[in-house]
Amino acid sequence: LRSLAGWLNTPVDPASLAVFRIVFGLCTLMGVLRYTLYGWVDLLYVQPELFLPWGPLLWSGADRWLPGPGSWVYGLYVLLGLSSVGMVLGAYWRLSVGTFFVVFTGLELLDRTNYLNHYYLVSLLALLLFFMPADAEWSVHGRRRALPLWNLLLLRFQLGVVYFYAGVAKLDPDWLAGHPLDIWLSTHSSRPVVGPWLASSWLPPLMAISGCLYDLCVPFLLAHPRTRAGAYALVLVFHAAVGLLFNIGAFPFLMIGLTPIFFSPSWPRRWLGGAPPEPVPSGGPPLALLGLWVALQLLLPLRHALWAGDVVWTEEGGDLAWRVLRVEKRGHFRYRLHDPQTGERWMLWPKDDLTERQRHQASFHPEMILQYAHVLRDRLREQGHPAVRVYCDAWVSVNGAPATRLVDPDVDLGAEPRWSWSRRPWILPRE
Amino acid sequence: MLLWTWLACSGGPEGLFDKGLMLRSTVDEVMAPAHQELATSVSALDQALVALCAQRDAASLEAAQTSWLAAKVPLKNIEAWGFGPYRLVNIDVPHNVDKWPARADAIEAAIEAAPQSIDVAYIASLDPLTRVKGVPAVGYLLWSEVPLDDRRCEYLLAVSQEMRPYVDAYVESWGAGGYGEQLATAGQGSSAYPTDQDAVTALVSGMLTALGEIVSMKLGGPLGLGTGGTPGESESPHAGSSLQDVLSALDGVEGVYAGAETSLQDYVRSREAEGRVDAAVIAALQDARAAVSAVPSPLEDAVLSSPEAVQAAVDAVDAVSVVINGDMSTLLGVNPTAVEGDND
Repeated sequence: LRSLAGWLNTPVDPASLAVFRIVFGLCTLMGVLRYTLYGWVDLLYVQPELFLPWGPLLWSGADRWLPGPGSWVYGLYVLLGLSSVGMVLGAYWRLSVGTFFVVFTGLELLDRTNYLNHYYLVSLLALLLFFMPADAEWSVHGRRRALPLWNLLLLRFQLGVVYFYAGVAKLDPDWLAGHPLDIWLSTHSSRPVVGPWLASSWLPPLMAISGCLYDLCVPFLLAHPRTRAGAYALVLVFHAAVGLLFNIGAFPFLMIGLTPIFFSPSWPRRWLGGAPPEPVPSGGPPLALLGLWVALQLLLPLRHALWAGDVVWTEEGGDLAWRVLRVEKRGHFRYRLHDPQTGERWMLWPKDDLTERQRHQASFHPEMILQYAHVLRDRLREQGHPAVRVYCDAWVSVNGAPATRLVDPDVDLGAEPRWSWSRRPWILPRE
Repeated sequence: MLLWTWLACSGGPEGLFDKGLMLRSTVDEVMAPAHQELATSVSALDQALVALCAQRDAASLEAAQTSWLAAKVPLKNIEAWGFGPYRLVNIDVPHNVDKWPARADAIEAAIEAAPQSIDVAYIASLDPLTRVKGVPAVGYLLWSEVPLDDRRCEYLLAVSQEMRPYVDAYVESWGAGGYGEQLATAGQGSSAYPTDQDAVTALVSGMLTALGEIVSMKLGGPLGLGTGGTPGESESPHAGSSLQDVLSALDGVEGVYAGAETSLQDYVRSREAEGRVDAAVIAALQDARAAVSAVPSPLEDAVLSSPEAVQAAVDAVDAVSVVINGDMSTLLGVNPTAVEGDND
């Protein structure tokens, strides 16, 4: 254990971490600008009538005290922009990265319909960077110093986890047969030159298998010095292709820009010059915390195995698991409410409360369907219907298959618990 | 790499569906005729109203009522492509032409409060949200039990004249070189639709919006689905033609799906050789039409006497949304809810 600690604490050049910090800050700044200039802050945080907060907030009941949608979010985006600039410059490092982490993660937790795997990655990386001296080189405020090797190893591990589990999620007969890639690629059939090939029947399974192999292997290829350069070339090709074909925003830039952390700690000096700082004695690595983090990251993506059922269908344990670009789902849902005391009945579609994006995301996600059922239940209770029951008709189609019921239409969702550690029995199996 | 090369050389491009042709056909053969019919029928309605006010007899009234019912057909058809100019600020058909239902009390009050000579300027000054103008108000006045006197005729003609520029602007906006061209040339220089997939998404989204309006407003409103069972307002209560409005709106949806020589239906078939999704869409549309047709007319009575028939119609129309929003959209890779922002 002592030799492991010694190895993890080996002082290394902070140059690659500094570049990581700058690229990370530039990507988050790009994200802030995109959200503001494209009107997405308004769309996602101002226009909605209500938020559907993330699960644990429901479990703890904290959602009752959360602020609702409003233009106040613009203030947080100013903070995100300033903290991103701070990260790029290495100015007030801990304050910048800490502020970014808290604000960005808080916004993500506010409404789970906004959840994206790569936003989760951004939150994790910001949290890790908070504990690292990423301002130790090329920064306006930081003190030049070497950094312990575990800093780089942890970031490499984190990126590797993303790739590896994205590959694990693709080990599925449907994916390997080319679904839903066949659907996605065919939408580009009118593109010049490559269009006809994108609509062919042989390409989707080929790309599906290639993508799966890439995801599973690339972290290991990047880790090995002899295969690293080739693996990085694959990273460039893969993310460029994905970025061109799919609407995934800053993710390709993020991964292309951050993956060089796998190279030698001094790789930037080949272009930027300068000598590494002298090593200075530092404390031992936080072995227990590192171990805990690694274990958590290895186990969390597999937690869907705790619930019986098909994660693609039930979504139970499907988030925080790097199931990136994995499935094409569409849903349609409506609610039937009944007050047995007065005999009154309602049938409601969520279009009045939820934005198109919220409806789309909630339509195939049982937990969000439940959340909105509770919104309706509470509203009717306030209107003098304390015994109101809420039923949902929800149909979901996966990869072009016939839409089938997702939720038991005879279960009163208003009586179901907001948060559950066990499988929800009212989620019907995929037909 | 060798595998890639071999596969790329061994398997040539397969028969590609021409989405551009489908969009062009849909614009030229479904939308343009409906727009033309709208312009013609609204003009005919205007003339019938002038004739009615010139000679207020039963025959003129019947002719005007027939013209009104004829104008409602394309007005409901176009709801299936209620994007683009349809809700553009200076046109806004639902707001300026078709804010339904007409409110009898408000119209009577507006006539009462009108200046000595009722003109277009007075009608333009009235808030559309008060439901006192547009096609629905004309319908109210034509079927009102109160006889058409000079003052009501002035109001009727002014309402008709006030809404016509909006109809003309809408039709013109889709005309030569207009929005129809933007849709038809999607992915080929269209500024509104950078890719043909964007245009397909708009078509599907338009169909779903129209279907959603049928279930929640045209049928669900009168049935009281949003109010715990208390019947709400229907679309054309005075003419008793609310169910015809529903059928015309369904016609619009069906027209977008299968009304052109090369249609969305052909695109669906091209994506799935077995034809299951197409069969499901067609069956759902037929079921919806049958269920709506099975509701005893008028709708205002049916919600009280046969609520189960109206509910069956709601369910049948909603089932069309299930198929289009589910099976068809995933098959075509269409995101009908236009999710903006990043994805992964």
